[in-house]
Amino acid sequence: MLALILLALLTGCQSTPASDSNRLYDHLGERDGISALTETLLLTIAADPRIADDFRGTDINRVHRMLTDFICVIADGPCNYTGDDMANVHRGLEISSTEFNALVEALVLSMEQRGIATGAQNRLLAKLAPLRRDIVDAPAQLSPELRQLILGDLDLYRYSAPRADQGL
Amino acid sequence: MTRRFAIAPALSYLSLLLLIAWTTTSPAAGSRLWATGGVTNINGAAGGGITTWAVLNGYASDTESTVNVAASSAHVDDFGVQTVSVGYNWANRLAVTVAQNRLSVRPLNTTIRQQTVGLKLRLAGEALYDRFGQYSAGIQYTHNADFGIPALLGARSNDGVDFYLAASKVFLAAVADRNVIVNATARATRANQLGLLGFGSQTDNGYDLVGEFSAGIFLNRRWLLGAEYRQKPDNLPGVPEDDWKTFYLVYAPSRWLALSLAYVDLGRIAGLDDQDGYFLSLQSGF
Repeated sequence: MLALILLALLTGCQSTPASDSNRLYDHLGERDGISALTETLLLTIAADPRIADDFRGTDINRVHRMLTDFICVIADGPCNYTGDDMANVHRGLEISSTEFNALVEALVLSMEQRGIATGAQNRLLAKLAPLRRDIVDAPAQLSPELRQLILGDLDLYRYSAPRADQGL
Repeated sequence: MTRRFAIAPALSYLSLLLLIAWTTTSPAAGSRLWATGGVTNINGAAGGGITTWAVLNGYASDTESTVNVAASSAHVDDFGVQTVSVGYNWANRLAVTVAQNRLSVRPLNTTIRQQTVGLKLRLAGEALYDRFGQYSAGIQYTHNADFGIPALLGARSNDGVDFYLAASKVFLAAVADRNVIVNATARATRANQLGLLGFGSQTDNGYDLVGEFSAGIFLNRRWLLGAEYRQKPDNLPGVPEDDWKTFYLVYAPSRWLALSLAYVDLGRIAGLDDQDGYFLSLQSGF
């Protein structure tokens, strides 16, 4: 019962129509602004030895498009994110707090560089912060042998296969 | 009363500046987000000026360790407190801090020194990213090296151990889309004026449970404006002790440097009323 009330409250909050003048999507400069931000972000990441290697070998254009869509959706913009959820994208990658913090730092520096106001920066961070638990030390996927041993032919983990072409 | 320019704090500031010059050329100072380590308080622990926070000093993340040094100077009507401290943060899990306080008692033209060694363990959570914030437990041993005046005022012992539990939470985009940090700490202590007037008294030698509270708003990632309140025991008969309050402004242009300026109201100290003034601190981490 309590859970139902909480759920109603939460969805109630989320479905409150955001006034257009104060939509985060607009403060980030709509899709073009977000696309530019993502580009700056990827360049900042590439220059950061703490995390540059994590993105090595990825299809950078795809990462750019996916990340742009992802931030756009997070910011209540009219976009469609077709990628996997954050937990699945990072499963088994053993992302440390240091790497996560480095990424947040790169994002803040990129937002500053793009001239995004402090308030909009904080709002985006507030929306991204809860995702940390899906990203840092996401539980490793079972090895194929172990999975076969435990689950036999059941293919429950089908949806959690790590995708090498998705860096984020 | 004219305030003399003290040479010892000046030297420590100078050495800190040299250290900063050196550290700005070194690459590692931790990865946690700017200013989320707080600054260094009067006990040498991460916090505000007078309160202890659950965050660990410096900016070390799980795969890093950091060292930071701090010097501060507080001046109120009849007293001054100079503090120098060093802290080591291992993997954002355990912080070890050492601090030295030097209290100048101007009416008596004398000083009281004390040393504090502190351990702070992060128990759970992450102040910025976890919904319910960060929790730490700490232990603090303080040795008062000049026990003459405290003994005359009725203090029982020249050393003591504090225990505390602290909680910190950063609320992102909380007030006018600005980030807000809130801290609360419960401390068990026998200290009189943080130990500067010794520990316990002939009539009251038990532990008191006192609270420390602070809140601050990040104007942007470099500027933090806030206030603190620290409850204190009142052990010494005839020498009332008041809770401490500050309003502070922190400027942290990088992980290597944080400057704090505060207005402090320390109430009654050793029989002298209305001790208020300013607090200035400089912190550097690498």
